[in-house]
Amino acid sequence: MRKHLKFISVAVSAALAATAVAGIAACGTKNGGFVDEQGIVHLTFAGRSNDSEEANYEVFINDFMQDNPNYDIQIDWSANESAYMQKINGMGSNLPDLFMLSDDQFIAFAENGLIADYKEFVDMDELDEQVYTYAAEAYCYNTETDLYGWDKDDPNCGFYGYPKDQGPLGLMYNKTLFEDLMEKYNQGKPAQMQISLPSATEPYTFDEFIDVCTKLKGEYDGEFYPCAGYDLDSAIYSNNADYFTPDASQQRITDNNFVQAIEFMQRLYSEGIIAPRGGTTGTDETAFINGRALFYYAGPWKMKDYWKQISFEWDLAPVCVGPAEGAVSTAYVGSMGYCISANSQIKEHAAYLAKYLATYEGSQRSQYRRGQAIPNLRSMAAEFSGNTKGVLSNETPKNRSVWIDVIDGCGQTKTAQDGVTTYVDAVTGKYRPGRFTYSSTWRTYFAQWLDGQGTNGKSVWKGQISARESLNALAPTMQNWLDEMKEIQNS
Amino acid sequence: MKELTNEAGIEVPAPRADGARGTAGELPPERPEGGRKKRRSKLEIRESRIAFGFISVKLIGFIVFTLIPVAACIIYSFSNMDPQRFPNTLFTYLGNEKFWAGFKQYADLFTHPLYSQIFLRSILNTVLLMFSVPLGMAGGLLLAAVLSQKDLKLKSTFRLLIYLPVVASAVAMGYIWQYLFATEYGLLNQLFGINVNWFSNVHLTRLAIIIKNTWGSLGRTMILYIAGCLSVSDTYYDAAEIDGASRWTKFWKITFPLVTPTTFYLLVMGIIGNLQSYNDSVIFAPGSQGSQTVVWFIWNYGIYQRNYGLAAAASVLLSIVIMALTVLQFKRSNKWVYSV
Repeated sequence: MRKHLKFISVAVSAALAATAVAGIAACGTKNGGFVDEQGIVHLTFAGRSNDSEEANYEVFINDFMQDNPNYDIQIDWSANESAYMQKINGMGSNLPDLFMLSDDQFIAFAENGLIADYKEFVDMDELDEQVYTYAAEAYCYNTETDLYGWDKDDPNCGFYGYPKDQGPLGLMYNKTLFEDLMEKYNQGKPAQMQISLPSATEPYTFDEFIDVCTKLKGEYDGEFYPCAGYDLDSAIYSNNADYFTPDASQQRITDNNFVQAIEFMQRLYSEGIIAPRGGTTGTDETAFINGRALFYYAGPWKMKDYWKQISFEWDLAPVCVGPAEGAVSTAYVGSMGYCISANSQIKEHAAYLAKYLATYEGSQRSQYRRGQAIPNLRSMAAEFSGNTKGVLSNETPKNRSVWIDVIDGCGQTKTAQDGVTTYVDAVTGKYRPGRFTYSSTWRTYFAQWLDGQGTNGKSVWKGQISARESLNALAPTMQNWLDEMKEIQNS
Repeated sequence: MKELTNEAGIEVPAPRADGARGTAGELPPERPEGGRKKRRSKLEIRESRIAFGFISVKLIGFIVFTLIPVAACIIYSFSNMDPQRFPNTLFTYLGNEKFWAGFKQYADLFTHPLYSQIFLRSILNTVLLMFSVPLGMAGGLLLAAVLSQKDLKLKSTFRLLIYLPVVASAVAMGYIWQYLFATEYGLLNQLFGINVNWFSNVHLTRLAIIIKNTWGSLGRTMILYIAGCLSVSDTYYDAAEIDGASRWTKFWKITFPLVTPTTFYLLVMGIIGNLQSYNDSVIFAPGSQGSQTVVWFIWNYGIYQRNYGLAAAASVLLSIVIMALTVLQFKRSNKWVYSV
C-alpha cells in the first residue's frame, strides 16, 4: 500500500508539474499558421461578433475553402468586444495570421509593430474601384506623420487592413408616433406652420431639431422626452468642430464651434428634449424601443435587433447640422479592419483571405441581408438602398440611403482658396475620435467629465457649469493626455 | 523547580529558560559525534518523500496560480504595462526604463483629474453596497430563529424555498431582478403604480442592489444560523425557562451570543465577498454609476483600457484592504465572539 501511495503521489505531482510547465510553455507558442509539406495553408483567423455573424462567417470561410481547397482556416471567435480584446491583448505579439481589429484600437497595434503593412499584396487601384474611397483607405496609415490616407509614393505610408465594414450613425425616428403627434399639432394650422416628417436628404439644423421636438412634446399626453439620446461625436462633427488637429497633437475643445456643439447638447437636456441626467425617469434606447421617444440614433449593425424588438414603423434621417460656417451633417462612423500579424509566416495568404472577406459579394450581401452591416462595395449601394434584389429580410428603415450617403461622402473635403476646408456633401461622416489617438480611453473620460464625474464634479448636462467653463477647465488635461499619447507613439 | 499542572490536573514540567523543550536546568541532548545531525532512517526519508509528493500537488498549484500572479501583479503595479506597447514576457522589459512608472499608478488612482473621482466613487459604492451583509445576516438569523422552532409545521419546505436562491446562478438572478426593477414593465413599478427608473439614479441603484443582495444572501445565512442554533444546548433554554425568561429574552441572552461564531464567519466571508463584488456592475445594473464597484473599476479602467499598471495598483490596494479588514476582525473577535 505504501508503495502504491508513493507511486500515486509521485505520479500526480509529476503530472501536475508537467501540466504547469506545458501551460507556461504554451504561453510562448505561436498562434500563426504555416504551409505544410503537401502545400496546404493552415491559417488562423480571429474575429468577434454575435452568434448570427459567427454563423455567417463560418459560411463565408467554408465558401472560401471550397473555392480554395489548399486552405485550412481555423476560426477563433469571440462573442463580444471585451472578451475578444482581452484574448488578443493576452497574445502579445503572437497574434493570429488574420484578425479583426477595431479602428479605435488600430494605432497602438500599428505603432508597436504588431500588425503588418501588407501593401505589397494589395492592388489599391482595384480596391478603390470596388469599395468607397474612405473605406479603402481606412487602414492606410503613415507611422511617420501619424496621419491616415494613402500615398503610393510615400514609403512610410502603409496598408494595414482591408475594411471589414463601415458603421455610420443616422438619426432614427419613430415614424408611427411622429405621424400621430404631427397630425395633432398640424390641425388647424396654416401649411407654412405645419410640421412634416424628417427628410432623408436635408438634415435638421440644431435649432430646427429642438423646435420640432418641443412642438411635438406639447402634443404628447403625459411625461415625455422626445429624444432618447443623441450622439455627442455627431453633434461635434456636424458643427465643423473636432477634438484635436488632424494629427491629434493639439486639442481643439475650446474652439467656438466645439463649445457651440456642446451647448446644443446641453440645451437638449435643459429644454426637456432628453430626460435629465440622474433623474428617476430616464430615457434611453429602451424607451425608444418601447415607443416612448421620438428620436434616437442608430447604425446599420442594430437593424437585426430592431427588427425583432420594435413593433412600430421607424425610419432614418441624417444627423442634425450646426450653425457653424462650413458645417454639414457629419455622422459618427465606426469601423473594423482585417489586420495581419506582423509575425505571420503566411502574410500573402492572409491578405488573400482578407481581400476575399472584404470584397466578396456573397459575404457582403449576406451581411446586409441579415441586418448586420451596409455593404463595402459601391456596386451594392443601390441594391441595398432599394432592395432591388429583394434579399433584405426586413425593409425597415426605408431611408437606408442615409447610411450610404454618410459613407459615400465620408471624409471627402474641398479646400477653398482661403484655406478653409469643408465637406463636399451635405450629408457625410467622420470616423470616431478614438481612431486618431494611440488609445481611445480619453474619449470615455471626456464624456464622463462633461457628466460631472471628473475632479471638478460639475455636470454640463445638469446645467451645473457652462459648456465653455467646463471645456476650458478640461483643456490642459486633454492636452497633457494627447502629449502623453504622442510620446508613447513616438518612443 | 516549580511544578505546574494543566487543566486536567496533570503535572507538567515548567518551560525552560531558553525556550527549548525539556525540564529547566537539563542540558539539551548531545549531538552525535562530530556535531553532525542525526542521520534520518530510510523510513523517515521515504515518508518525507511521500509527504512531499502530496504537498507538492498543492504547492505547485499555489506557486503557479497564486504566488507568480501575485508577484506579477505587484510588479505591474509599478509599471506602465500596456499589452500592445510591451507585448512580450515581463522579463523582457525589466531593464527598460519606459516600462517602469514608480508610484505613478497608485498616485493616479487618487489624483488623476479624469478617473480619480470614479475610483473614489467605486470605493464608496463598494462600501455602501456592503450594507447587504448585516441586513442579510439579520434576516437570516431571524428566519433561523423562527424555522428552528420544534413545533413549526412545514419548516423544511420553508427552509428549502429560502435556500433555493443560493444554488441558483448569480447571473440568472441578476437578470431576473433586472426585470423586477425594470422601468417599463418591472413588477415593482407595476405593483406600486410608479414609473421609477431605478438604474438612472445613483442612490436608487444602490438601494436596488442592496435589496437584491440581501435577498440573495438570506438562504446562506439562514442555513448556517440554523446549524448554529441547533448546536446550542437545550440546558440553557431549560434553565431560562425555569427562571421565567420570555422568548425574546431567551433569543437575545442565549441564542444570539452563542451563535456569534457563525456571525463572525458570515461577517468575515461577507465582507471579503462584497469587497470583490462585480456581478451587479455588469449584469444587474450595467452602466449605472451606483453599481460601479472597485473590481468593476479594475476591469473597466485598467484591463479593458489596456492600462494593466493601473489595474494592478488598484488590485494591490484592494488586497491590502481585504487583508487588513480580515486581520482586524480576527483581532477584535475575542471581544464579542463566544466559544461554545
